Amino acid sequence: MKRSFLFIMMLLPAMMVLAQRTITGKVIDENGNPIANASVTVKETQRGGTTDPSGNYSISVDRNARTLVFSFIGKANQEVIIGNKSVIDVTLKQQESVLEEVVLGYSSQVKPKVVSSVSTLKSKDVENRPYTSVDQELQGKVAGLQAPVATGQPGAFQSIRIRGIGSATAGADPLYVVDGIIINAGDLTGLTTTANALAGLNPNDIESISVLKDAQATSIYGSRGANGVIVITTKKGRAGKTKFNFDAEVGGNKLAKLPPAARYLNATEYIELLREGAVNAGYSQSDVDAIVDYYGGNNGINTDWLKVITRTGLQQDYNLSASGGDNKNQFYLSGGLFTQQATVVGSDFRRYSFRTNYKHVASDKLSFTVNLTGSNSIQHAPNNGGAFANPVGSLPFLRPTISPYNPDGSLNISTDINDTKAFNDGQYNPLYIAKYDRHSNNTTLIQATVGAEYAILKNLKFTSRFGIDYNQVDEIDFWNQFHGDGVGYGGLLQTNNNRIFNWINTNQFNYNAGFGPAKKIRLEAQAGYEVQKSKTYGVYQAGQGFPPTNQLYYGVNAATPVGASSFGSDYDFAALYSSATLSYQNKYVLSGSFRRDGSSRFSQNNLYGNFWSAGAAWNIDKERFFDNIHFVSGLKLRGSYGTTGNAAIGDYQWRPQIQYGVNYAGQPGGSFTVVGNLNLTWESTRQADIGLDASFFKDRLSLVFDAYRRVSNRLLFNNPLSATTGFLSFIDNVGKVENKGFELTLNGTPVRTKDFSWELNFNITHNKNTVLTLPNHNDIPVGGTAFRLSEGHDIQTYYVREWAGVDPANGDPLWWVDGTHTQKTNNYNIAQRQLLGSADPKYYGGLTSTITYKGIELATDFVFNYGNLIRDGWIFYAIDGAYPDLNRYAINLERWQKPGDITNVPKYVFGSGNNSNAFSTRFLYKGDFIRLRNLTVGYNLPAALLNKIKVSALRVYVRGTNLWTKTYDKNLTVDPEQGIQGQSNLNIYYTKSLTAGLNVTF
Amino acid sequence: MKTTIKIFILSIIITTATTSCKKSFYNLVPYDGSPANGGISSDADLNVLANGMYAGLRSVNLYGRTLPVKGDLAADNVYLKNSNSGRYLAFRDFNETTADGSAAGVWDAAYSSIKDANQIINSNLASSPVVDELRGEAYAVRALMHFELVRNFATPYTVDQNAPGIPIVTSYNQSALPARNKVKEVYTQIINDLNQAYSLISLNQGQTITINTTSYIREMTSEFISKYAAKGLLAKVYMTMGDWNNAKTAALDVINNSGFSLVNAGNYVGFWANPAARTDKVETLFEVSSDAASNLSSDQLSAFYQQPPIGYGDLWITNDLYNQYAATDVRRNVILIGNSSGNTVYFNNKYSNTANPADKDDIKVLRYADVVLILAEAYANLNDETNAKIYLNDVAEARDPSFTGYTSSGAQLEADIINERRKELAFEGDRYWDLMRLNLPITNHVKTQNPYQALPITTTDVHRIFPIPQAETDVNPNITQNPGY
Repeated sequence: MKRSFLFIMMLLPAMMVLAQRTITGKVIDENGNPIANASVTVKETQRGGTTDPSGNYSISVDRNARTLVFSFIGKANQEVIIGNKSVIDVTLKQQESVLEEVVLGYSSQVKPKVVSSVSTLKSKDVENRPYTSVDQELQGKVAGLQAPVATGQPGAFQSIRIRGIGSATAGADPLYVVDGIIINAGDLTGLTTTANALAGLNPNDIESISVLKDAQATSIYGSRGANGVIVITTKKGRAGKTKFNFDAEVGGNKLAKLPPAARYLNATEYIELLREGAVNAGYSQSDVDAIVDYYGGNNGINTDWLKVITRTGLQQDYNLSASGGDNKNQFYLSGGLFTQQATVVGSDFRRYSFRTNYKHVASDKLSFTVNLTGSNSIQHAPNNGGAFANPVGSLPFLRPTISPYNPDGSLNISTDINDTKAFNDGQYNPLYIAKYDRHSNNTTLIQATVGAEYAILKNLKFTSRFGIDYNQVDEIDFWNQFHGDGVGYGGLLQTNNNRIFNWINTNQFNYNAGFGPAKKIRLEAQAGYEVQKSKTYGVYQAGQGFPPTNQLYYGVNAATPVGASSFGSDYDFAALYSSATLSYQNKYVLSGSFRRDGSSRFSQNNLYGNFWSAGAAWNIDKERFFDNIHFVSGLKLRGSYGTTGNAAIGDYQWRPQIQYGVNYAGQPGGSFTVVGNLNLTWESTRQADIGLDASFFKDRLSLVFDAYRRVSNRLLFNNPLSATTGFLSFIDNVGKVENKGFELTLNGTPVRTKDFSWELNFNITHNKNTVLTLPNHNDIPVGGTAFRLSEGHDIQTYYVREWAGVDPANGDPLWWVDGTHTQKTNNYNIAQRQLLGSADPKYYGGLTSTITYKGIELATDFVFNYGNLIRDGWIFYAIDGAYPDLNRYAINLERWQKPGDITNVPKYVFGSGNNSNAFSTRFLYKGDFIRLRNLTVGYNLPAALLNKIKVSALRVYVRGTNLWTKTYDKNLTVDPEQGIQGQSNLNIYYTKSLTAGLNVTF
Repeated sequence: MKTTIKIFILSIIITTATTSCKKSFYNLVPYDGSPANGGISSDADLNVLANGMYAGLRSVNLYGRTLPVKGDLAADNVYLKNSNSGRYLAFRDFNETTADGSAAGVWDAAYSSIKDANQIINSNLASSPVVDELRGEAYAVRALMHFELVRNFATPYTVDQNAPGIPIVTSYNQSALPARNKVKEVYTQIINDLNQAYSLISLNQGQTITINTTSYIREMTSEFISKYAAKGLLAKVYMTMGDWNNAKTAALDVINNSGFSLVNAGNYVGFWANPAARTDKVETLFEVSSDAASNLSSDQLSAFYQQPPIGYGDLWITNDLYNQYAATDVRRNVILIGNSSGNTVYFNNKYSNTANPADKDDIKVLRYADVVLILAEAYANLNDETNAKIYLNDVAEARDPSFTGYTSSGAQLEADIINERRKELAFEGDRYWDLMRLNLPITNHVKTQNPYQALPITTTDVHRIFPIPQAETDVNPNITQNPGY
């Protein structure tokens, strides 16, 4: 371009001689802003120039010139007859009627030609939200996608299931693709309680998210497509005036409301129960008094541990971005800071991030792109579960008669067995631990792609892209020497430094051509080759014996190194892939894809797999006979069928291995510890999908309906072995599981006037999971859970003893002996386990409402969930008399006290060994809930006002998250959202946040 | 320009295709393992596997913690303090369930060690002094694990030798779903393995052997099973069976030929405080190693006994046991005295190295004193009370220099021997098994000490033996459950 411009400049004097004339003018956009680098050409000669930064141009034309063509990216071309004008000013308007493109795997496609089931979210759906990672924002937004929160820890891993659980023990989370890179998602840490690689990605940099659900959409990802694919595209610059965006959000996080039954006893109640329990256990009066005294009955302390460990956490999010460019260069730049403190002490997250996305058009055939993002996230994540250092564990594991403070106000760390206020039964003072122990994860993420696109022929394009996805994870786990886990070590430090380098190279040909009469038949095809390799290398160190200060937690200060090792784990994939879409006038569409994958994860006997799909769509609304049906504005029928795979198992698992590191007496030791499986291969999933897209009343109402059936075969499964073999299980391809269901999305605009509008989006998913076949048709227990796989049942079916209430005569716990409900027993061992209920919801979805009046908007997001059972994973310690030294749930106050009492809580007996607290249906609760996940009130300042201060848009808002939750089980002791497996693990409490924000564009 | 680009495109395709199309592209090898089939090709490989096998015994589910805790807690030597970390409550309450993690832990870990031993026994390396030595030690470990399994999961041999025992596993078979062998069949296997061990192991404690491939000199310390450790284990097995003739023969072999001796009273406290491996043939026939680098950290047995803030201090000594020791008994010197709410309480100090950064407490599996007392009991049962008292008093007088010796006879002598065993082997996981083989009730089983509450365990209590773990019965249709579970 530059060369041709110079050329014209050189010719200028000569042209003048040839009696030419000059035309000048200015090119502006609809808002009156000048457009720089707009192209101005003479249609007849194809010669011309570009506008300067003020939008002005000057061009010489000869007498053959009749028409000037003004063009600019994103704007509609405009032709002006020159006539005898010498000044021509032009306003270029936004290009209209460009069909919205949907990003698919390895391509994008206009909506009428999409035959697959894909849900798309846009930047406005995910930016400026108080969530650390984008995957946490998807719940309730996408039909078919389930993303229950498992913990309030900022930066936590978020499990997502798309169209149910298709795998028993291999990973069931979707594949994540960011700007064409298949990234290492999930938790990449070694010591951290829970972390999320996606938390390194700033959600404000995201342009769109496509959730690929059916086989037609996912089979192009081959052996990794079976769990669905989430394709994230980041923001790109557009030619035009440079646009700046500043977003700020500040607020506080408080404890989300807990269900009433989650309350623990206060000291008075605790002592009352303690005394009663001791009497019931048959102790003499003096012994009872001694017991009550021993557990602090007379020390006057009443500690509300929930209050002690919770706080108002600070929430901040700042983002500044600039984007713009011209016809040749377009850029997007951004920087962000996000901090979140959880409501529980010691738990927080902070991220700094930047992004540069750049595109250069070298010629009309060749262009280059560079996408680069870097971020640094620092997360502090306390222990969860039964760890003595778990702050949330304070509630069940600390009596209300223990005091966090000494009388002088300092932190109490006494473990004196004679001090009833002391921490002498394992659990530590959570405030001291939060202050002086350290559980930090410092992750630096760099994702970059360099790509080139070259048009070999008019119809044939070649794209090559090289991308890296690099995570450096630096973890410090320090136990102080004065109180807690580190005392026995004089302070113990563990550090883990992981480097996970993942590269991917994609080379792809795109072919696009028209055929037949008037080229009404169009073929769009892609074929490519992709190679990926991910390498993990880590170093672990441990040292003990620290100087008597809590500030020096680095290994250099440790007296004795007690652990040092390095380790690694690699995988690779290579694939040939192709897809093609054949369409006739956007009315009839046929589409298919094929991928051949190979991977190191699978045995040498089963290296390669082929995956394919086929689909079709009929845009009925484009038929002649539909022209007169005016209330229907769009109608499309889709259908697809295809295969995908799931390769989410550990590296090397197929190899029978002797592993080392089991050292003895200072010498290296090895042991045959991996059974392996020489025929191991991926899970194979076949999915059929039928969909209907319809819209009515000029798109005021639209619906998307999909019905699907996906059958996963050859499940990757830790197939249990008799422990007498020396192994508990081996990895195997066994069994078959089916997910079938439907998804419905409704979008409506019930009201739309000049000043007032109301938009509603509703989606609901029904999924039914069934285990179809198991090896030898035998039930298989799922290790580490209460689930059992059984043919004909849901994959997360509880195998559990059935609670039969409390014997009114004597307060004994009762269980049904078996499913016939003919006989009750007070002996836990005699009660047989049964398949009862599932942790998988039957229905889930969301409702979003946005009401706008002039500049004011009110937006609400509800999510709901129905039909699953959840389990309190630690109630064993927190109910009935087996652990009388620990605090009890307040429901224990409803215990049986005298013959004839009808209650569900057994007689409270100090040190009872009757197993009433052991897992049974007594501790399974209805997981149904409706939650107001988000409530925003915003105000957009009027344009007239903004023009004066040279700002193009300004919005202020306040937002609350998790403000309201309705649950449906009065016995529920935990938040109804407990992750995919529906089991609580004394995780950081959920957050209710209140924030205020500002978005400025100028 | 165009040609350049086309060449560039072509070169990209060729480069990536050639680097990744090969099968070797997918042949990534693990960082921490070698192929199970090709892993044993020399005596050095076998030695590494032997180390791995011994390391398995350190599991928290075996000698690392569960086994020594059970032997005292389920009996009458120790109790769980009122505020405890919630572990092993079933050993106190005798309310084991099939879902209990402790029982399943023992089952899983013991069979895992049997698998490790079988890898060594069944390796196809030709016989050589090193290979025979290691193979012999593997036979002993296999026997030891079967012994622990049959004691924990089956009716005592002395009660019913035809009762269901546990499956005997002598080779690795991934698809095996074995039924339970009878108790007597299991004991026959254990005896055969220990005899094999005795004949194959050439080293006594303190001797060395050179690994051919690496010239590494392997020393037979107390942390490995020596020839006489294998024989001592055999004596213990015969004692458990009540086979007194064979018990006597085996114990006498150790006493007459091994060169071992009892630790003397002056060195007794130092003996326990020192976590290092021994080569001096004093007292320790076999112990499981823990050291600065390889240990169970906060899960060590010592952490379970040592008082806060160093350990959990969950187990306290019953007054009943403490009162058995005379004031002049050196064994009292490894008991610490504390105070809890005005009550005098007692703590075990046999394991005191939780916080020692240089080394950790090894867990004694077999001591010389045990073998001497086995011999005494064998003589007593064979009606040779003179010899019985000689060996009994050897131990009793070594521990209490002011003690003038037992003079009892008949049933009282046998009771004295059992009581001496209790005092000598306390906190080493032994007491419960004496009560089991003698089929005695546990009358002084303490549920809480302050206030005192006993939970007497009768001989018919079904919880005296572990349930077969639920996970095993779930997967193995051939296995039968113990009565009452």
